[in-house]
Amino acid sequence: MIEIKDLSVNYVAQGERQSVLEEVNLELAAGETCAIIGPSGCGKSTMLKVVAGIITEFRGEVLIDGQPVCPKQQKIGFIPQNYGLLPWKNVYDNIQLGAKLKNKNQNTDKEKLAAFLKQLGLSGLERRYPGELSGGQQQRVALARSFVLKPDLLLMDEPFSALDAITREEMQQVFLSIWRKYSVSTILVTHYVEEAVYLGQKIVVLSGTPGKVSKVIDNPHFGVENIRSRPEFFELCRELRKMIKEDWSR
Amino acid sequence: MTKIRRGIWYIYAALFFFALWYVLAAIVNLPIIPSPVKVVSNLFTIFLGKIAVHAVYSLWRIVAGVFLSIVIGIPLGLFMGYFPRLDGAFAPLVYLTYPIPKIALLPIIMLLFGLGEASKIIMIFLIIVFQVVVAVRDGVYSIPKETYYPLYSLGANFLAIFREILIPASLPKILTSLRVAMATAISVLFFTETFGTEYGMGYFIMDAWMRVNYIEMYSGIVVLSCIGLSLFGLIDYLERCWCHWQYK
Ligand SMILES: Nc1ncnc2c1ncn2[C@@H]1O[C@H](COP(=O)(O)OP(=O)(O)O)[C@@H](O)[C@H]1O
Ligand SMILES: [Mg+2]
Repeated sequence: MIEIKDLSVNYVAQGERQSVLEEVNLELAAGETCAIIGPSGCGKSTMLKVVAGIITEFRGEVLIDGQPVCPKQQKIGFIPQNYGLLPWKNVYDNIQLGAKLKNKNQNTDKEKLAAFLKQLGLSGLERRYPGELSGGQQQRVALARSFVLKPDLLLMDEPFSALDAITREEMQQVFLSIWRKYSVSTILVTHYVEEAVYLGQKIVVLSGTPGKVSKVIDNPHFGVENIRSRPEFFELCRELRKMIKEDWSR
Repeated sequence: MTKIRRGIWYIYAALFFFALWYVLAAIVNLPIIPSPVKVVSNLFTIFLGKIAVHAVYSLWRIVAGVFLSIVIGIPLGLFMGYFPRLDGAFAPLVYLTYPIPKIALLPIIMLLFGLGEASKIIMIFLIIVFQVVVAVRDGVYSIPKETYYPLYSLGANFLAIFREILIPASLPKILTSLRVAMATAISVLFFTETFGTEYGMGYFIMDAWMRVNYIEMYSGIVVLSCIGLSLFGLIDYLERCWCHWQYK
């Protein structure tokens, strides 16, 4: 269970204090996915960084299973916008990084890892460096790194937006299939309405500067077979788009 | 494939150089430019008996100086790059002393540390350490903030950040700075070895010169050049081993 209570964040840039998030409240049940959608600059990345324990100066409370965020104690998988792979580590070592830092002495199960790499279509690429991979493959490596850790919470910042449309849909499917297996609580940021409706059990609309939660929608179509080709899906996307338009133009 | 090509390239370069030398020696036809054939054959006969001990001394001084520079320069550079406050304290000092030609400090170093090994090693250290500190600091500076995020959110401690990010990210710059500094260090080593010692390639070459034994002098120059070349080659090799991710 993730709870965000009265979260406010300020940045100080060039001596001026700028409020980026104001009084954000959000609750996410364990094993749920939550898609955050909002215009560029409304503080989506900032919010993820707070939950990831990267930004530590904020007002309010952020609790993971009742405990304040503390990366040393909790397992948090954070995938930044550029995937955050280390260019000097090959695919295998990048994937093992989380496990290496977290379960220090424990050996990870080699066979399980191999099966996992196969599911992600990364078999045979273990020795490659990030610079030798396509965007989609880098994204798969980043997903593998986070899921291998079996995190308490997974955070993804615009995970699929740098990919072409076909690869994006493919990766969304890959994500859902692994997520089903591990059912990790996930917060993902997006600016695609379709992505939010396809991947979010809960859809949170952020708006304005400073950013505030303006709507929380429980998505009835999440996880339905072939949902992307059904009329209900388009209907919800259309409604959401309309809502957002009204909201953001205010 | 590329390794073989590189080896061949080195051989070509050496052959070309010796051919040039041979032609020059034949044209000038004076004792001050002996033919490379004579020099190389002399080198083979006197290397073990006469030159090897000097080469070992020179090599030891360089290795000790480089080692000291790395041991002190890398942590200092990393801390300066990672903790802006530390940089604020040290940067003025580094910038002020960086452009001073360190060779000009030789008399002072010799007064302080004597004419022996210490002052020679400290000279090399002084030349290389600044390059290493600046290179490492700039290397750490140029790491994008986002690179740290996954490690922060994994609760990595400073040691892990050091090992997984700071060192590998600045390694290419460290090696480049060593390569640049090495050439200067060898020239300075040569200079310092002409004082207060009877061992070292610098001593050997100058001694042969005083004795007007040009063949031996040239043999010494060839050996010193080979030492420099091998160190260059070693750094190249390490870069290809450790930093090949860069070229992907
Ligand atoms: N490190 C920072 N220092 C100062 N201001 C920042 C910093 N990071 C982001 N901001 C500002 O905070 C606001 C929100 O940024 P961000 O969270 O990245 O938005 P989003 O991800 O929704 O596009 C922007 O106006 C941006 O200029
Ligand atoms: Mg963003």
